[in-house]
Amino acid sequence: MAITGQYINLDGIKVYYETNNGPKNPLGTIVCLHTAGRDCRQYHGIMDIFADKYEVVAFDMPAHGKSWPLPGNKAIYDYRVYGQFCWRLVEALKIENPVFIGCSVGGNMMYHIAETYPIKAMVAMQASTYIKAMGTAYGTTVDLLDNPYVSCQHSHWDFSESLMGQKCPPEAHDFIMWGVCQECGRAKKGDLSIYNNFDVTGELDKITCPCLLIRGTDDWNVPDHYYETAIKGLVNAEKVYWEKVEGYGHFIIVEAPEIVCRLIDDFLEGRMTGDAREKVC
Amino acid sequence: MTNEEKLEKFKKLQELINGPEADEFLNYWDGRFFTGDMTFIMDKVPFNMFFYKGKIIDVFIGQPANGYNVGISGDEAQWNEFFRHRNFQLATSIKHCDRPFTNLGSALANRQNNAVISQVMRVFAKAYCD
Amino acid sequence: MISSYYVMVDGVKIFVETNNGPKENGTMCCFVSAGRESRQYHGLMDYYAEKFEVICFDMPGHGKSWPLPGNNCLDNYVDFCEFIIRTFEVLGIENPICLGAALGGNACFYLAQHTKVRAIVSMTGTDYSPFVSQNVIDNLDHPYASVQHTHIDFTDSLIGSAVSRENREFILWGVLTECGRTKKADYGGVYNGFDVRKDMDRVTCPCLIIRGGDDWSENQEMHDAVMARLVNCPYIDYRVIPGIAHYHPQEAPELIGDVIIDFLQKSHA
Repeated sequence: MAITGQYINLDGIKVYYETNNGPKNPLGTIVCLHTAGRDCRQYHGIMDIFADKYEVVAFDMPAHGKSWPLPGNKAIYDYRVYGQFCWRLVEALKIENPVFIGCSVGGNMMYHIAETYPIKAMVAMQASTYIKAMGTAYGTTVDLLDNPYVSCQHSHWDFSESLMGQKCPPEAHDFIMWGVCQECGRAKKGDLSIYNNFDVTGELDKITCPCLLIRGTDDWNVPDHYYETAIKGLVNAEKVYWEKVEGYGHFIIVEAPEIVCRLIDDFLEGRMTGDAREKVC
Repeated sequence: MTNEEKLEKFKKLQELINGPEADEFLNYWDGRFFTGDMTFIMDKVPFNMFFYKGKIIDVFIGQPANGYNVGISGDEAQWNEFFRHRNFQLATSIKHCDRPFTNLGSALANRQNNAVISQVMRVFAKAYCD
Repeated sequence: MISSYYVMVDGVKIFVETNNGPKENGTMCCFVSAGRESRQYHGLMDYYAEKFEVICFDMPGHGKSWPLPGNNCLDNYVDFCEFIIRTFEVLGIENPICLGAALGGNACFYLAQHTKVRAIVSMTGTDYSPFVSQNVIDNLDHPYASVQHTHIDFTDSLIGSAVSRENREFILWGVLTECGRTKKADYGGVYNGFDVRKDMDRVTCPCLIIRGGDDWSENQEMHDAVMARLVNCPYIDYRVIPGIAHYHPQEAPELIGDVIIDFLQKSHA
């Protein structure tokens, strides 16, 4: 069955979510978090590929895509609230054995969610446990996302363009850039405020579930050292794997869904060997 | 390279922006919206370009008459680093660079023209190095 | 309960929402105002859940539908409306009741002229709308002007005095999520270039035309002129509803829903 969508009312917010209607797999139901300012369509490739093996659920965070904003037409500005919202949604949808996967700000959120909630496994892509970007200039950039004199749909054009990998297929490239065209300044500002103030490194030892970290190596924005910091902190995780994918970038879920699916399947099926901590620590 | 030789590189940039690069610059990178001064400071020497609707009208050494509008400033090492990776976002990121390029002009004007400046920088790298 | 799915139309992945209502009374197809998307009709979809099947799909580049190749949108009314007709074919929709607001209200007239429809409900629609200044069009997709801010007051001014705070807020959320490229194509191309006056005699289905009493952007003369050109319409109903303005299905879905049912009964549509 193809991808379908529905709404659920959560804490008074009408939230849109999609599923690939895949089979319930004891290895887990895959729950997907999109990148900053975007929506669940980023996971259509992954949903289609997994249609016969895993149930995949992707939702639009409040103020994104088809989900309603918070009262007062606001977005979420705090990563703890973001995480709580994700978990409340999983509970409301009665998802068992959730395997959380996320990219960019959604990838960062993996660490917080795994630290805080009893998930079965996590897959963090283009993710970091903290962001060193607290300076004035970055704050100005975030502020100017929701400003009458600046179109965020233009001002972030080169940034998104620069983040893609050299192997990114043209259709994926166009869809990623369409994401810029459709960006909502207020939602993006909320997401990047979360991104900009993120630091959960000190609590990584709370993570006990298996972790798969994926890095598209053409992503200059999330270099190796962020992964190395994470791996060093994941002292109590059941397993930690780190896979580098050459030629792809920050939007790896859109750029290379086949590769991401293969890695996730290997991870969930237990076909991965070794442990990233042996090399990094 | 002397300042005069660098100015020649900017004139080559002008030829590229107004010629073979024009279509992509104007239509994909929003160059058509840009009118005004854009200044690149290289080792304290300002090279100024005046644009009219995405076409470079004039290039000269010196500050623009009305002060800096948009642009960036860096020393030789910063420019050489940029010429190597040619990634404007990386070169201006305080997240990644200990010494990012400095913006000239207001933050607002630089955000409004982010895509335009980024492409002029990339084409400049072509003019300067290739 | 509202649910959604995707279909391919002319190679473009199109998002379709339905209220899963009964089909026995006919299928209603809803068309949104410029730049917006299917959620404009959620109130009506819910209200009609036991009465009609109500469908709303996002046009290319709107909401969750993919854009045209090259990240473009349909920018003239013929291509726009013909795409709707082809989407009807893909969805297997025959003889629908067509509802539209603003740009969607215009589209209803084209559809009635070029495909078989059971009735049309044109809310704040017209057959001719060269009303948008070039200055406005030029600044809809411009790096120095955020379309999500520049249109706030315009939209706010077009919300009626009796509209609830919640509905008003969500109408304004529509501005805050607007895509400049899409809005420019809709507003500057499809709407501003819309002119189907010469074919109005081809409209042979019942027509309901609704005007919001608080809508300053329209006047009686405009609607009189439209109705005068509907020379072969078997039944025309014209309603002016006080307290609402330009975004009827979002401003007062229940009220609009009742007016439409009354029209369908009286016109035997």
